[in-house]
Amino acid sequence: MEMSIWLFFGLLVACSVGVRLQPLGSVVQRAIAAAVLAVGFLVCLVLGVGFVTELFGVLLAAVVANLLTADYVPQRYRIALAVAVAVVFFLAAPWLLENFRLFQFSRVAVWVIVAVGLNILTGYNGQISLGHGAFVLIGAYTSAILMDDQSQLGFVDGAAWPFWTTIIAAAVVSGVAGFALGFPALRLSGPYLAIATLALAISMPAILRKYDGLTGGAQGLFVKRPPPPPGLGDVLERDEWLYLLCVGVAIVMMLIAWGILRGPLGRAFVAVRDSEVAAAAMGINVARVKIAAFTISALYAGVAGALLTQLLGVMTPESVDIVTSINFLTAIVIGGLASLLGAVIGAFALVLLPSDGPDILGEIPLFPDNFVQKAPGAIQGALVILVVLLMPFGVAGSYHRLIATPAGRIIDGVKGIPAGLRSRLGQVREDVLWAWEDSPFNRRSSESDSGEEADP
Amino acid sequence: MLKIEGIEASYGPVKALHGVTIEVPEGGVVTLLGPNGAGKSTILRVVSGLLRPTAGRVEFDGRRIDRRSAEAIVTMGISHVPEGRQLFDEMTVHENLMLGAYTRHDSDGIRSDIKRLNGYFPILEERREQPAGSLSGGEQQQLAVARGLMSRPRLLLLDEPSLGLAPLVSRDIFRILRQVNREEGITILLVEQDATSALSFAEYGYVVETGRIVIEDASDKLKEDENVRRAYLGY
Amino acid sequence: MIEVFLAPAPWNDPELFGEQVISGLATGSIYALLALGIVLIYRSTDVVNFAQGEMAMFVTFPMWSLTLAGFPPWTVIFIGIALGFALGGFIERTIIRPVEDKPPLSVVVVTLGLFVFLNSIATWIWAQGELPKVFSTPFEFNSVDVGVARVTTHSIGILVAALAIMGVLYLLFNYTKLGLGMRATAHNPGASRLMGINVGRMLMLGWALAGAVGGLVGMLVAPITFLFPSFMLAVLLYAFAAAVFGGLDSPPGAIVGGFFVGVAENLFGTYTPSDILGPEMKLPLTLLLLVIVLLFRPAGLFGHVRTRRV
Ligand SMILES: Nc1ncnc2c1ncn2[C@@H]1O[C@H](COP(=O)(O)OP(=O)(O)OP(=O)(O)O)[C@@H](O)[C@H]1O
Ligand SMILES: [Mg+2]
Repeated sequence: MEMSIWLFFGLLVACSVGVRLQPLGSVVQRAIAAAVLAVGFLVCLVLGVGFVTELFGVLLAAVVANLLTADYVPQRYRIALAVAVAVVFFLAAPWLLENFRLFQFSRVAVWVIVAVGLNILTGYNGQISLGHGAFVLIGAYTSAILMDDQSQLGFVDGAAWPFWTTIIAAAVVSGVAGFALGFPALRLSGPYLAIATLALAISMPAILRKYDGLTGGAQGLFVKRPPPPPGLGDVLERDEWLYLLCVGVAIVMMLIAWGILRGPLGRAFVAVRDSEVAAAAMGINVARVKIAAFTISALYAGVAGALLTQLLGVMTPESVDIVTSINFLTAIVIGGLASLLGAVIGAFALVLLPSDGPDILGEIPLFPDNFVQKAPGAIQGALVILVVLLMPFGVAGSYHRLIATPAGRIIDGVKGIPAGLRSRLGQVREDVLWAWEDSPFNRRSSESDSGEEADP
Repeated sequence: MLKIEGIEASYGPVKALHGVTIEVPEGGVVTLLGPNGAGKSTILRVVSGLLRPTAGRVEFDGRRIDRRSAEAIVTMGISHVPEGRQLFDEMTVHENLMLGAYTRHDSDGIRSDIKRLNGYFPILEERREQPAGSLSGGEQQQLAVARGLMSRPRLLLLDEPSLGLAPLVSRDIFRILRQVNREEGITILLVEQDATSALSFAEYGYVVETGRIVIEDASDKLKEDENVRRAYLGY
Repeated sequence: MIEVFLAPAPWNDPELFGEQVISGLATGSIYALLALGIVLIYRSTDVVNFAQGEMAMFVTFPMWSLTLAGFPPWTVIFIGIALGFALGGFIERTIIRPVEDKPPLSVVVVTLGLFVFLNSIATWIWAQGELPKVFSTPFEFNSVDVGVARVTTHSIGILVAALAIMGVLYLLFNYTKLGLGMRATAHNPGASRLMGINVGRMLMLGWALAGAVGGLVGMLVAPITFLFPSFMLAVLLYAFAAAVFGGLDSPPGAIVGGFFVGVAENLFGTYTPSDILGPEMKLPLTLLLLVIVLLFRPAGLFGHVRTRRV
């Protein structure tokens, strides 16, 4: 069974939201709703009306998810459950999606790791970087060099390292590079840091090409893409295994980030971002915190790089070019700064916008076909500008605002809604709000709203 | 000459003025008193066009100015010497004065005005080519007032010109302002923390509290007023 | 272990050295001009304009079409400068003004978006068919001897044009009322409004001038690198280096920085041992030098660490 990613996303969102909401009526009402939707779904399926079928399916999923959980799962666990639903969806993707989508999703998982790391540095700590592509390359080459069986590294004695050890090695090497670069970064303010990190990203490919003894120069290095572990070989193909590997690592890295950000170090990151003077007055060692942010951020990029090597099977100086490096920053600004959800949205945008954007816009009759195919970047660039203009806190921030405020006002503003339904809708809104406020993705709004204005 | 009628103004969601009415007669000196955050500077900002009022009207010489740009208002003859001086620190004293005359096109007049102001503020002549940021606080305040006069205003809005100055320097500035008012007929609307000097300088005063006028009267009367005495004069 | 082949020493071959320095000054003047555009925008609107190079490209392509249509080179250059002026002003009005009060990071992302947008549109309109395209120069490519060195007339033309533009801008900023107003706006926009300066117009003018200078740079670079949609990227990077080296808010700094970067780049390419460094590493080396300079002068050689009244 293969489905379109839009259905995939629809079901994902429906199930997660269904799990999060308060009971949408009594058990009987929900059961009736589910039955009606199921009948509608089946009828449409038989009639073959395409899009409407999917719509019924998505609504059905939301109601069923609510029916199954609302009465039995205590409120405070429902967020965790919603996240678990999302995780299950992504773990099940190999069996739900086409192969090329799966490969795209693998890439998304890798970029999520980079974006989370960059968000720690830029969104939470306020240090801008246009150069994370360089850290990704450092991690990727560390992995590729260690896995190369004609390894030029004397101490490895020609034996390739197992792939998972190279991921750790990549994390360490990239982290050390980030640590080292954290020191000069201390002295540079906003625009100067932006340009200095851009310089780093530009230099890295030239350096890799030049010292070809180790890096294979412009041809790059080839590695054997790791096969599924013994025992799983029968159920998983290599691409599926690699996808699961990337998603698994991404999830672990997000959990670690979540833990760091809600702990004392995370609070220090934000304090330093909002005011270095005030943070220092509170007894925070500003320099140490900023270097820590750089180190952690680079480490994340290194892990992502190592995964990228496994995924591609080849690493060249152009595998992560300067445009990609710049796009990491664009992605987290679009997705939403200082938000883990924002990092995920940004990573999806990074992959899906260029591949699907033209197709979607091509449907609009105004656009000449020629334009959509020949100028995909124009659409991407225009979208980036529009998002910044219209959604100052990124997509994640708008999502938050959307469910946090106007829904109730819209309902209040519509005349002729029976009082009972009105209060029920109000309740739904409260639930969504509550679900959001408590969400692990929502550190920012609990932090302080005024902090957003003072962003880097 | 200046008529402010029922203006309201806000900074984003925060409303700072709730209907303020003030009149300044031609050639007069009027002062606004009030605690910190009362809205005194906001009133001046509305008059000089930095902030659009959300309601009410401002008239200058019988013409409505509350929808005009700051640029147009300067050209009409209103000059605003803002709180905290707001000099161009990295530019020279001379350049600051030239910027004061930005809306004027008579270079001979500008030259003679600079000469005249150097009479009032001799220090500015000495420091002509020095960056404004390198002047002392009192010198900077003199420069700010001189810059405000460079546009040849008929109405001068002054926001706390004596803030942070030694009493002697502050007395100097008030002396010059009086001279400007008497000899050149420039009307003055003064915002001041130091109520004693403000009331002895101005003919008429308004007391602003949380965005509203609470008392208005001639200066002599205000000085006698029980509440004003207790709150602003401190005896 | 590693054998180091020593590069030629400058004193052994003064002719080569002179050539490298002079051609470095010529390319440096290009970097200086583009850096000047970056500085003009940074000073007036506090934005690091990552689209500066693409704006120049977006002017150069239509000018190439004009040359094909038979317009004489000098006419094309002046039309191009005017077009750059209009483009810069238009972009400020339409795209930058709405994000003026947003956090700086958002504005940076907007200029990055503009970069991608312009590049893609240009690819769509002009880059069908054969690439790169040849762009003609009014200065020709003849060789002339300057002292010990031999350089092209185009290089000299660039140098002269750059110096002329710098002179014009210097006069504009220091001896005209408009320049006074622009400088005042850059320092303190709030107070400038009180002086009766139309601040919005000054900001737009800053972008327009940067666009005009950028357009000229595009038309001076294209004859050397040939014309394709990303032809300004490398120049932009060196221009950033130059602007940062001199200090992002200092026009004289941009010029000094430009010449410095141009010469340093050439010397790095020629006089470093080619087995471990050499020409391929001149960009990283130049950037490394830049970062080292920044460590000692965090706001560049002539820049100010900005302190702003709150
Ligand atoms: N730029 C601004 N943004 C938001 N609120 C502002 C701004 N400027 C002033 N306010 C608010 O408007 C109100 C009036 O401020 P205003 O500056 O007019 O007071 P003031 O009477 O001049 O006080 P002070 O004597 O301290 O100068 C205050 O509550 C202040 O917090
Ligand atoms: Mg005030």
